[in-house]
Amino acid sequence: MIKTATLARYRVPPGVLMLGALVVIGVLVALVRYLFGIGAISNLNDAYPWGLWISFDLLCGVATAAGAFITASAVYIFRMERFRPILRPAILTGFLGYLMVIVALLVDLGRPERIWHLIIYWNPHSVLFEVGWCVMLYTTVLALEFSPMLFERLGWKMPLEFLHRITIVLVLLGTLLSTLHQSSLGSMFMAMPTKVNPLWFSQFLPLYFFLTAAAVGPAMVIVESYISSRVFWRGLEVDLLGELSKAIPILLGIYLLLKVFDITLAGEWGFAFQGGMSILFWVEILLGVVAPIVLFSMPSVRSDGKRMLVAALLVVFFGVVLNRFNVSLIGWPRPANLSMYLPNWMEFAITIGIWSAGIVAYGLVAKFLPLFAADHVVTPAKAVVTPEILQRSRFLVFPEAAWLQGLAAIAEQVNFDDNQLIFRQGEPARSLYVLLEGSVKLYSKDKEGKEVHTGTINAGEPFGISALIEPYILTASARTAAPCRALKIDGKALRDLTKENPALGQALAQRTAQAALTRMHWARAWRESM
Amino acid sequence: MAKYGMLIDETRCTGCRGCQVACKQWNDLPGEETHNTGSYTNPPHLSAQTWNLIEYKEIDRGGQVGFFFLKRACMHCEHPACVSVCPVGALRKTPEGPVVYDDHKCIGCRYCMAACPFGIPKFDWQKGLLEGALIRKCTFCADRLSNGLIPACAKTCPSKAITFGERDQLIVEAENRIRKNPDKYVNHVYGKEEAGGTSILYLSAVPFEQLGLPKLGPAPVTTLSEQVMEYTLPFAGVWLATLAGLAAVFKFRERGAKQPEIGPAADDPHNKEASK
Repeated sequence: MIKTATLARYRVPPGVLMLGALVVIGVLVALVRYLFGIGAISNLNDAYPWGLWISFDLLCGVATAAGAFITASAVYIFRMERFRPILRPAILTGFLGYLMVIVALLVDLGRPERIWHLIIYWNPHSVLFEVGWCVMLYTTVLALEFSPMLFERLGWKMPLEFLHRITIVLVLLGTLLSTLHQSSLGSMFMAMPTKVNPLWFSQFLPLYFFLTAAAVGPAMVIVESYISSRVFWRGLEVDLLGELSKAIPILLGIYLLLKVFDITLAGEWGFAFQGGMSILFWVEILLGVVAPIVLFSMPSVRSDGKRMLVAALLVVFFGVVLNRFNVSLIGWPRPANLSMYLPNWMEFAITIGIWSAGIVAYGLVAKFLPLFAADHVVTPAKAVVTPEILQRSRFLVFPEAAWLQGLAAIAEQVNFDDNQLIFRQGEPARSLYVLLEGSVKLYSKDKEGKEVHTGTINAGEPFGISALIEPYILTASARTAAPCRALKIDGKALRDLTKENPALGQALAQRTAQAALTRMHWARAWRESM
Repeated sequence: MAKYGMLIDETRCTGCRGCQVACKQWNDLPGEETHNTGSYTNPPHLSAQTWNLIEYKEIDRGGQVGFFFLKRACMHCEHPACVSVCPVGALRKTPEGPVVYDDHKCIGCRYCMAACPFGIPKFDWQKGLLEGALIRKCTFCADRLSNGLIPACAKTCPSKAITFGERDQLIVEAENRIRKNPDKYVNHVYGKEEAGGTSILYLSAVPFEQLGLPKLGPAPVTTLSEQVMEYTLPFAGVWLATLAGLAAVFKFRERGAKQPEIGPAADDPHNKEASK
């Protein structure tokens, strides 16, 4: 009874309840496995020691987690600051992805209680030794890269500062470990020249696995951004994703050329035209490699969320998932007098349970931790702001409830890291901001084009007020001086609102003028004190 | 120390399964409940409870079907794939020949099963956490060898199909038998070179592939994967240095355009633009 009441009060969405049920089923099946053995829940057998969990949960799981290191290296190594808004979701996907891989391994390993043996017993000839170490180390790196979200939420400054200082080290290590790990999953199958189908067996397997993982990284970021934009009612960073996706044709192009070269050199084209595997080969190459190369080369695809999603799904399912299955399972010779392997429903239950848990975890993080740098939104975001929140700022305290409701409907809450650029001078002023927590510095260019500090915004004060003043072009750049939380009000919607409600417009105009005046005096005082 | 092997002359095998039983007896392995599969081979394949198995092959030789046998068990490779791929080093090739397994190290990843070109290591599929599932396979009776006894299967074989001895001498013996009876044998000692050589050597009257032994080149199957592992650390060093270098270059490019004193932080692309 109590449980039902609690559930009713918190109104857990039905989707989450369903995911929860799937997790419970997975846990129960895992329990059977731990009690009665892997054979009790799977069709794995002595001829098929590896099945769904290795092909999908491990190989595909790790590949699809590649978005984390791709995005992190873009932002921190190549200084492509513009990708920062999608960094945190990508890191979270990677971190959860690796945790999911570990959980799957804890089911698949014959002796999960001995997984730590990897630390004390070494065999440097074994590729799996390298894989094991990469999983352990990279999961640690991902945990550290993820932890700022937690510390920000908790308001712990010390660890935040420390992590901020070692970020570049973490990213370098993460990129190194990812490169090793992605490729080593391919190397694993180089030990099986008699089993892996000749169309897939190659001395380039490590490179193939790395290239396809590097290509599926951005593709997964697109898929995951698209889904979360729907689920959490946030905008889709179409421009950023379009730019990120430019890497896909390059990576897949290199992969395709290498593969053609490799098969030609080995004289194995004959295999591409005989038997069932040849069909899978062409499906994989045409749908998973050639089609995405063509699609992502087209600007009309890169500027459209839905088209990018379709192209990204092709990479994910045909370029990577099908590929990993072909290499590790489907392409293997069927042993004489032993049964064919098809996964048992309970094997699927484990995999589905793990993915459901991952999705729930993602949702929880998105709900409770500062995951989305909500500044970068191209489509208008749905409001999640209440009148009470508005009134935290004096700038937005109005006696009229209707005004507040109108404002709340077009406002949203956004979070920023420390030292993050919010907007730039000269850009169109799309939104008005009101700072709730933290501190923001404004900079303007002087006559010689030099950047000058022209003001500091403290909690409660508005900025980006150019959104209310014609010609709606920003006259300053804003950069956070601490982790910030702000209200963001869509400029166009606000102007429409003031047209409908001139009294509100007048009140806002007056407060804006006050803020502008104060700022002007401040800037002059600063100038003269120099 | 002498490196041991076993020469299995399949032309001498009568299919009595004495070795199969002796193996179970010495290693305390339970019997398996089986069904009629239409073949004399019983149990139908090797398993965690059956480490040594006589496989019965009906092979058509020019219109006449003959019964041929294959004693299937671990080959105890000179360069074993299972030993090479085991991430925790639970499998080990001893100098005397046997490939042995450490119950206490294994994590149950089953890479050995996937990698073995002969499909030998088997797994306890029906054991939960409490029973503790393990990889099982023929041990070449390493425990008997270290006590001066020969493997149980060789000891028991009534038709002398299994000869235990030093591997080098067994190869000489095998080649002698072929030379003396070239019509009786296929002119090949299986295991002399396959996958880098194996401790178990076979002689046969029919092609080995028809018996069910895989066609393998002279290189160990793990040659490529071991090469990759050798290159990994040097590659990691070079790659890390390259990445660090790139990071430094990109940071420096921004620093070069830095505004002194006030202004946005040094690592700001915006700043770079501003100073152009």
